[in-house]
Amino acid sequence: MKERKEENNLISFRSYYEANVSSLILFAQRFVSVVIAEDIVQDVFLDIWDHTRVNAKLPSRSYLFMAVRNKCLNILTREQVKKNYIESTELDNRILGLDYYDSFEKQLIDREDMQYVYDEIERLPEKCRIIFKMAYFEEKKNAEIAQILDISIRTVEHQLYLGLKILRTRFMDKGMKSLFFYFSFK
Amino acid sequence: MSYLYKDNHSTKKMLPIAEEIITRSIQKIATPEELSILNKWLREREENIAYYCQLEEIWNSRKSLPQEVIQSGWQMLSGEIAARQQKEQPFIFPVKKRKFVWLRYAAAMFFGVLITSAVWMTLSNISKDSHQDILVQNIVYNKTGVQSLVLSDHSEVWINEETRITYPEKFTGTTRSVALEGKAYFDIRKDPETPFIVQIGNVDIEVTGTEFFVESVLEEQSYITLISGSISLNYKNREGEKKSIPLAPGEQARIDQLNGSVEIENIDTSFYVAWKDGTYRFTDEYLERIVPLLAKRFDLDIYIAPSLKNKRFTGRVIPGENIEDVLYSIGKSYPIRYRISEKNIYIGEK
Repeated sequence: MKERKEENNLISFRSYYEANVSSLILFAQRFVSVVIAEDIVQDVFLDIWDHTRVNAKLPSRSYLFMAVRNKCLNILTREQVKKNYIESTELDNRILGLDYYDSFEKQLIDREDMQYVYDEIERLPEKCRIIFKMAYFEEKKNAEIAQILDISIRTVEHQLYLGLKILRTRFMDKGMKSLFFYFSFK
Repeated sequence: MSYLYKDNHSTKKMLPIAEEIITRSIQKIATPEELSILNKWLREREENIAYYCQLEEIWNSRKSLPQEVIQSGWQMLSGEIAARQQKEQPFIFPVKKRKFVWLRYAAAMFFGVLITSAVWMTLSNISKDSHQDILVQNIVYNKTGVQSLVLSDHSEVWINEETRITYPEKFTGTTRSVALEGKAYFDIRKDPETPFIVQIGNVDIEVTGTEFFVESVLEEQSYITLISGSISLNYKNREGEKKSIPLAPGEQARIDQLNGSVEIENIDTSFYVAWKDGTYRFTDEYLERIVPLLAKRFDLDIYIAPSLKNKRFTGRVIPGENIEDVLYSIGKSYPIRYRISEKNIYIGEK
């Protein structure tokens, strides 16, 4: 009986893990290395496992997200202290980014939105769309794309920038609605 | 760090950032020089940081984590959990499974309660503090079948599939509180001095009478239905005011987790006797309401034609019947046709 309880508990925890681990690791990887990202996320889940014995409900996505974000921030600031006076603007850029994500609501895209992303990519202007899809879906390098289309690398980079910019605008328009939704029911 | 600021201030006119630098930084192929230009630009205005982060987020949305990484991550995590788990042992009396005999509870000194709750997202965030008075703590999560356990006051609880209950090792204080996610049948030792409280999300159900059900058919909503006796629902509304709603027998409270509203209506309670002995009963019930229960019972995805949603049926599903038996019975009172394809069933009008 006891063993069965443990087993059941573990099964539900597993589906919780599987439902969330991917987006958390991918988020962390934007700011820290792949290995550290995985470590951080494992730590967060272990903490929750320990915590769950005194709490019936597993924490929300928003909690998970913030926990991972805070751990990333700790690691980067520690790294920055270690580097002392040696300037690392690259590190500073990453910290600025993490600072920005001070709440779950700052996230523009959730996994449920992916179809929307794909649909919007299809709606990009032709040249931009072709280049964007090669980079985004086929993960081709900028130089490769430049060669295939016989254009300059700079053009590729510029078109990618345009694509992101257009997508962002559409997301913001959509996001305004959900933000409204969020406030009106809060 | 500080001299970066100074640097920034001394550059009075803002350098327009080369857009390609943003692309290259997002792609993680920018040079240190480019990154330092980017840094100045980022530090200039907070909007720039937001803008950059949003572009980066869109770019990164293309990635997904390989299944192997997820699985090996779980292997490591569960290994760690197993190592930690050695000594923790909950308090559960091994009680043998028992068939429910519904009416026997009515006259006894025990009274029965069947409770279900939906996923409580928004509402449960409102008053976390209400959970603090449950002392530590056993958690039982039941995945399949029905599992029974005995609380320290000798109340018995049968918990249904996909249900989690949190209860203290020993009841102390002026109330007996447990927290529930899912569906359970409570056989509670009557003790007017120490009310029994079931917490579902942020709603407390205070048990002052005999039998009631809490049922959720749809995930966004919970239905709390009182069969006999009396109960009160205590919760905080969106403005944070404490509310207490008493229910009378035959009344059903519908709690909407999206907007926090509570509506009360009179209903035919026989529908809510579905779970207790594995028999699902429907009395003049909308097919739309019957289907989710069937889907759950038979572990199928069932799709019905819109024209059928408002058709009402009366009948019951007894243990041992399969889905085709049920569809056959339904078909006898209304012309339907159905198609089964693996785990999917499509029901339409004939």
